[in-house]
Amino acid sequence: MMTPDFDPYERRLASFKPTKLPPHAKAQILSELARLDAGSPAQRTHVRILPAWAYVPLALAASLLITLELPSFLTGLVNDPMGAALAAQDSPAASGSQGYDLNDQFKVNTVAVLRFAWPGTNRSERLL
Amino acid sequence: MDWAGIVEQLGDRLLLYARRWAPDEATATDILQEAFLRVWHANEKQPIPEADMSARCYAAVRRAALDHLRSARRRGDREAKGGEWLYEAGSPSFQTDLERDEERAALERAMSTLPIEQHEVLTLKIWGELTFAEIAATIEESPNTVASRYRLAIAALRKVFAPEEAP
Repeated sequence: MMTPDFDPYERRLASFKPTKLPPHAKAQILSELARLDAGSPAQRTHVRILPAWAYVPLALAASLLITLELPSFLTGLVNDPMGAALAAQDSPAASGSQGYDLNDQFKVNTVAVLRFAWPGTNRSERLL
Repeated sequence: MDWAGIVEQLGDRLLLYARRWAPDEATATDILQEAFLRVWHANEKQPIPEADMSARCYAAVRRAALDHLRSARRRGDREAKGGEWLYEAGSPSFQTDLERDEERAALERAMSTLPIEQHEVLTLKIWGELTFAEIAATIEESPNTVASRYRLAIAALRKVFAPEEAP
């Protein structure tokens, strides 16, 4: 396919063909592209599960949890995110009032969603 | 996305473009690989229409090359300080054909005398087969500037390189 408005001089220039991409370089490029296409299951799942904008409310929700009242929850989260959230839910204090139960359930859900969105990574912890 | 087909179709021409920014063949192919990876990621975020793929690949080569040049400057590479590399001698940019080898060498000598801005536009137009609008988007200049650089490049080339008539 050649640009149709070339004059004879330009066509003559275009008749010189660029040197070939060395086979080893081509193989390397194709290998890298194939590796990306295959992707790790975690990366591919991440791409399919949530669009980029969905992380904004997730981040806000997590940030709100920390800001409100949860230094001990945060400490536990860094060491054992699911354990901390589940422990909070199962603690005697958690069953003290309906409001507190809902709050703990919110923590559990947030952590679960973040870890589901970024499987195999520590991004949820880093975000928090 | 048929990446093998894209590499097959554009690889040689993109390498020619990458060569202008690289000091040697290995660096040019590294730049090309980096460019393809960037295009892959861009395509993952938002699928690239087939009609735009060529221009997007050239733009990716340019950005990868400029990044490479910047990091070379930071390292203090002497050749990068002038804003461009001196491509290693003896590595032809065009395929060697015994009958036209002298002509090819003359073309490469003539092209090496062009300012890098004109050289770039000429390469994108003649061998990249991009339109002026696509070149303008690729190098982030106005179409008028691109067209002007191209005319100057062709005029300068005509003075020093007269290809033999096609048989």
